Amino acid sequence: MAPDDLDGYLERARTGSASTSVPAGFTDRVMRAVHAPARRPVAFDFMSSAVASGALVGTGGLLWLGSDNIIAAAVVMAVGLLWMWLDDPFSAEMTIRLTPW
Amino acid sequence: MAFRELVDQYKRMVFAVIARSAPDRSLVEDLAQDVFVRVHRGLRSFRGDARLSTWICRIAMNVCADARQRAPREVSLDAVPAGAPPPAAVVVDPAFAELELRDRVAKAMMRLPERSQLVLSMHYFAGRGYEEIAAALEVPLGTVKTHIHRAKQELREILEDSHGA
Repeated sequence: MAPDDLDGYLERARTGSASTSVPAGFTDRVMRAVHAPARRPVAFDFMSSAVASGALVGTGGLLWLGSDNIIAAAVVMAVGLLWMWLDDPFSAEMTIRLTPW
Repeated sequence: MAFRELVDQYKRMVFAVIARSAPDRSLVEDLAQDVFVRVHRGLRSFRGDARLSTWICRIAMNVCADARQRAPREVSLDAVPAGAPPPAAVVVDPAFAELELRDRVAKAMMRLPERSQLVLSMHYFAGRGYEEIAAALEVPLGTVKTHIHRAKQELREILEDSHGA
């Protein structure tokens, strides 16, 4: 690169900086971006919790069927079911509407 | 100062810096928005050691550097395979040559020390005068001139090295 190329480029950049145009509505766009609520990462937590509580209930079920220790199996199942209930006590996500309105 | 006023005051400077440093010109508006989102996030921890303009200019340069790292690697058109016949003389469109020069300078800038990047960006890309940069960096006027001269020299050496490689 010739020395003049760089000097010329930098001088053009300097003189051009004064006439830099900013798109209309840019400030509003930034204001919307900074005031947008942060997304909550709920899906992954819910999934891992559901898998763990489901595994407890399943293990309790297998214990119930495969051994004589029914009390231990019942306790494991109860803990799993309690965990499931605590995840979503009032089944808000499971509400199914059969009517379209 | 309300944040809206801050955006209005510095948006032209941010656009000017990004327009010369972004890997892709279509990204300029998105990157400028990213700069102000980061400014908004960092305002609480901004200690005022640096002037606001210096701090925002530095953030703009970091956003461009991040965007360059994320951008897919390009194949250099300068690289000629060994044994290939010499290219015929071509007429280069001045607008294309300017874009290519802009890209080469932006890449070379990323290899400069942070201080050199900052003074060059503020003076040439953001159009700030020597006095303004001296006040922002809290150094004497002569130091700013020396910094800019030295930074330009370093930039030229990097460009010559990369062209010769």
